[in-house]
Amino acid sequence: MSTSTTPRNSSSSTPEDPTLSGLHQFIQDNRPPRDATHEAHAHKLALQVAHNLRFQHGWTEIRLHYHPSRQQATAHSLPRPVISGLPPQRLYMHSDEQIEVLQRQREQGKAGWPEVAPEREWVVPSQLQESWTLRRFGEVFDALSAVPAEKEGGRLHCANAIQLDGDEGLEITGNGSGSGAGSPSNGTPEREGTVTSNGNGHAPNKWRTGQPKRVLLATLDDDSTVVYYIVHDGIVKPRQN
Amino acid sequence: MPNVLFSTIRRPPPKSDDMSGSKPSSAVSAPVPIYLVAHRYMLYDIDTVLALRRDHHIIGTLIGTLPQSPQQNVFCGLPLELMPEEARLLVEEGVAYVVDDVQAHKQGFLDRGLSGEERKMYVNALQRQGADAGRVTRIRAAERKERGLAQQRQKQARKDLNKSTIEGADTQTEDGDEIPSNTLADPTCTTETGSVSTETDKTVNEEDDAQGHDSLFTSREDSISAREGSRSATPVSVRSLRHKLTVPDDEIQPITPTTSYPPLPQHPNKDAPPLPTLPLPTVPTSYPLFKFLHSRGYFLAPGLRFGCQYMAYPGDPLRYHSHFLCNGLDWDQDFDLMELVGGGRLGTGVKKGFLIGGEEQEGKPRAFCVEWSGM
Repeated sequence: MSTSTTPRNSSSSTPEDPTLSGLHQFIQDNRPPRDATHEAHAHKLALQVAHNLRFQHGWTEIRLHYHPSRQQATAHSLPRPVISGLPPQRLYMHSDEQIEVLQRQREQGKAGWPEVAPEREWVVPSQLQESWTLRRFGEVFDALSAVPAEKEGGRLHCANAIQLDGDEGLEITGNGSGSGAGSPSNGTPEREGTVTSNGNGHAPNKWRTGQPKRVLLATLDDDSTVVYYIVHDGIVKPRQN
Repeated sequence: MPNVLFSTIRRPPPKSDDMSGSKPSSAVSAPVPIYLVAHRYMLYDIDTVLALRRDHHIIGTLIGTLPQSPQQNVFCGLPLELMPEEARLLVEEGVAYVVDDVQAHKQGFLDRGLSGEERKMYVNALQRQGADAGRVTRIRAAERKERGLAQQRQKQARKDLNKSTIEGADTQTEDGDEIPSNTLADPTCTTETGSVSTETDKTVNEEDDAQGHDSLFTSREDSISAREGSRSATPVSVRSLRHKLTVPDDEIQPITPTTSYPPLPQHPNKDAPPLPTLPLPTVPTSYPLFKFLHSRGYFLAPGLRFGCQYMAYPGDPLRYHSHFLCNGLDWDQDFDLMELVGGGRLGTGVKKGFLIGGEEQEGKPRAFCVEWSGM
């Protein structure tokens, strides 16, 4: 049961410890990069949320970010590690966008709801007992761009899981804001049949850039359940539910 | 003796053609006074209330009991109570000014406002109103009594009629011309049982009064009043009541005037010493958020119903549901994530967003909206 640190750019060689749970193994397999300044518990929290996203909700292309988005020039640090990923279905649609989609459907003479591409989302992990301030929310928003860039952040390693498309087992690259250098695959393979909103040179959805930024706040409770809330950086009217 | 509230009923202000303009109605002169009574900010004038709602999207809360339905508080009337935030915002914008109501009344009535003569005239006017009220009440009571008696008589007559027809009585029923019209307040009582005559009354009824109409009415009254032991010992007919000029002292009803304007001048006297200017109303720390949302055109109402500070409506509350449950905080104020979660879930459950916000820097408010993601 040696817990030696995993060498950086090789596929996992951590011996699997059968006494550890899947989550524990996952946390062990993913060490933080050396230049990350966050505390260990913040990193583990992020990993636990990432694990939940991957295995409970089927998110793909999950990346961990330790530095502010390159677009955000003014932000100097990211207060805590942040996750970005692609949900299996579209997670949030503004009510006005919904109206627009329905109108377009009507104009084209189609019925029902069209296929809408999922959009990449930010996830900010947190524990339910934490106390936050408005300032911390402000800092988190200021450090993140409106749309998570595909090439930023480090990917996660998952030893014994069924690999979903586009999430080949690769380790976390050195610096979170790296350009994905050193990753053998040429970008993540696209999922069949869908059009990603910010890949392949597609223009970003105008609803994404025109509306205030949003993140998903993940709240981890003591019973290891994680519940997600959408937080908008501005005044956004609620959706119809 | 019930207190009678008499209000000066004014005609509604003329409808202005320019509905889109933001000019206040001509009936309201800016800035308007907000009356501070025991740390509450009140408005009593309906024109002011409407103007504030229309032009400045300030709603307030109606807290007055409706005289038509006093035993409920779902619907209330004037006066309107303003939140301290609303009052402060209006003062800051120069739309209104705060008046210490107690001080103003003391000064107006006692110190210098009214001379002894004016005061006496006012008191006499109130007394005359009270006498009128007393008379009207008395007349109404007598009319009610009459109607009750007529109904009772009809019932009795019907019973007798049934009895007489069953017994095969041969008293011919004629139309009830016997019953003189002016003893009964409303002649409609006789239409249904018009065939019933007083003869059946007289023959069968115990309280036999074969006398004239006056005594028919009065003797009944007498007997009834004797039974009930009513106040008025002397029987009076409605007709005589109408012409009574002098009202006994115990029937003058006390009047509570609802406006101070008849005795006090509508606009303050120039020579009078000015009332001390009050400081701005004290507001909680959520005031910057209130101001921010107000500047975005939202109508804000107290949020006690949902456990938050304000409810933000995108338009008039009579037309829209609220969009947000708002909590204003200091930028560095700690709050439990559980509160955010609770607010977010509650909001999602009632189709509203949960909004928290504060001032990031002086004059730069910022807000965040929370809703459940569905995951």
